[in-house]
Amino acid sequence: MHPIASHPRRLQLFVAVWIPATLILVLAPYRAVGGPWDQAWPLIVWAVSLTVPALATWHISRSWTHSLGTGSTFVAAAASALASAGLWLAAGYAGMSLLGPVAPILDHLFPRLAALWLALATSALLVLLATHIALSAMEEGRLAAQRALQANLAARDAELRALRAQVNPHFLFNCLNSISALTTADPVAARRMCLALADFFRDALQAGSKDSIRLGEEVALAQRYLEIERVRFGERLAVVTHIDADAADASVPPLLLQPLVENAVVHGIASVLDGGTIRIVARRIEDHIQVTVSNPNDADGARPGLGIGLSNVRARLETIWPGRSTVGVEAATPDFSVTLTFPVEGIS
Amino acid sequence: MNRLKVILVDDEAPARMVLREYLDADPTIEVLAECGNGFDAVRAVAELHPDVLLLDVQMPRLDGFEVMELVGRDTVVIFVTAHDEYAIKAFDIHAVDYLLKPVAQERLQHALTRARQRLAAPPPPLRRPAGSQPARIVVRSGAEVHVIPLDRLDFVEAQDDYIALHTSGRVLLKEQTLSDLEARLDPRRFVRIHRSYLLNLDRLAGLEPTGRDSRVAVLRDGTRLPVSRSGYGRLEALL
Repeated sequence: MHPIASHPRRLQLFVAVWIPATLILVLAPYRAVGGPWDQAWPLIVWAVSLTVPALATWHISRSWTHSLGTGSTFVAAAASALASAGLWLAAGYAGMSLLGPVAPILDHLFPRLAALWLALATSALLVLLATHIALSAMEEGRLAAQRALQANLAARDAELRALRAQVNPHFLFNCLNSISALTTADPVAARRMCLALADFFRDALQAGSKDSIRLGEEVALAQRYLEIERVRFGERLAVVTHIDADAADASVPPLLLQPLVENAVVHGIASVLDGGTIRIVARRIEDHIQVTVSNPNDADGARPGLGIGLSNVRARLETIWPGRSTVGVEAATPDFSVTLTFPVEGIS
Repeated sequence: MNRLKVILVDDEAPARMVLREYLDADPTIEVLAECGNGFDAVRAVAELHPDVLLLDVQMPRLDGFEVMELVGRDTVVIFVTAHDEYAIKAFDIHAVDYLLKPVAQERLQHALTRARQRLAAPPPPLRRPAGSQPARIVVRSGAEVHVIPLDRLDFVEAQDDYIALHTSGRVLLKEQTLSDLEARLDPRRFVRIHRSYLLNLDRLAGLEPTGRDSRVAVLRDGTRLPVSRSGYGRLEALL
């Protein structure tokens, strides 16, 4: 993108400033040495023609900067300005010798003024190039800021989508229904549930914005979720958790366990008559962590719907530890369990 | 106006609580019972004959759709659930309404008005969800409910307006036509070998000729079932 030619407003401004400048640059020395007005018109055409190298110099300077490497901006600018001005002067010479018969005075004056014109044109082009460079740096800065903003938004969007995929929306609707029931029957419990729900969502959102969290925090988040579910299921839902002391500091992707505990509630508590116990056990086995989530299994339940959450968990582990994590499912009765195994090393 | 007799079915106590509160505020409604699972619901309907069932979908033992299949046609059903994805299926089988949790009192009133209209003018019976293959069959005898996972179903025999479901030596009767059941099951697993018999292909041990052009199917447990000519054609195509 040319910093001037590609912006109509800048191009107008450039033309308005540049053309008078070139005229002065060419005609002032000519008049100073006594050049007559009636033979000046070829010089006017020549002066205006400096506009073409003026706009082209930017590209030349840029491509030279590229081939010379960074830090060579000034050298490249000076060289390209000099080259453009030189070419323009050469074209002027050629033109003047053709026009010799109609403007004889030029033939005489041109060699005398050539060095001055070259210096003036080179300086003007340099000033112009400096403007170019400043403008394009400004633009680049703006684009970079915009790109950073977009990247930020995309990351944020991904977090929210991840959260949505991790936390089932029906959970929210069921909670709101419970709160709606409790508001008249047990206002204190209703308020407690509102607060618990707010805490869970705040923590989940915060955890979701990180690349990794401690396994201890992850299990605490799952516990918080299960506590809320206990309002709905009452005594049908019991929770037991155990984390080995040397496993609590291992890093895991945030909300890794959420789909598993949700499945455990939907399939192991909601569809079993008397409910049962959801167990979360995290162990350290040498340099691996093993997390097991288990729940009661209804013998003739056989209901579908486990797939998506589980394949999400599998995909997340595989992205972080390619080929070094496993997800085992044991669909036995009376207990159904999912076991995740992954390296203890941190997430980069 | 007669009081509308209602039974509430939801496995979550708070969900029943809020519906109960709404219904108790309306003197034209009488709540006969609250049930926490599908089995209890079927039993309560058989014993108490309610007009309306307010029914959750996801429940232990029997889900809402299975309960609806098992209760008589004199009871109309309003589903109450947090899931919107079952709505089409619910209306397909003539549920009166489909309420989403959390439920507003006005919305419940509206559903009950529709239930009253439905009770005054019932629609033609068509209560089997089309296009969904169940993983199990539910049967009610009196207040008792039986759940038969499909892999435990040996064969089904047509008996007038009923079908006899044979499962591990037991026989359970259900009010349904054999063609209706056949249409809902996987045709590669359950084959209509005869006008009166639908066979679980896994149970087939062999075929024996009994004369020119007639055969019997011998099952793994020794049971022998007649195979019609078109039934043999269907078996041949699959084996």
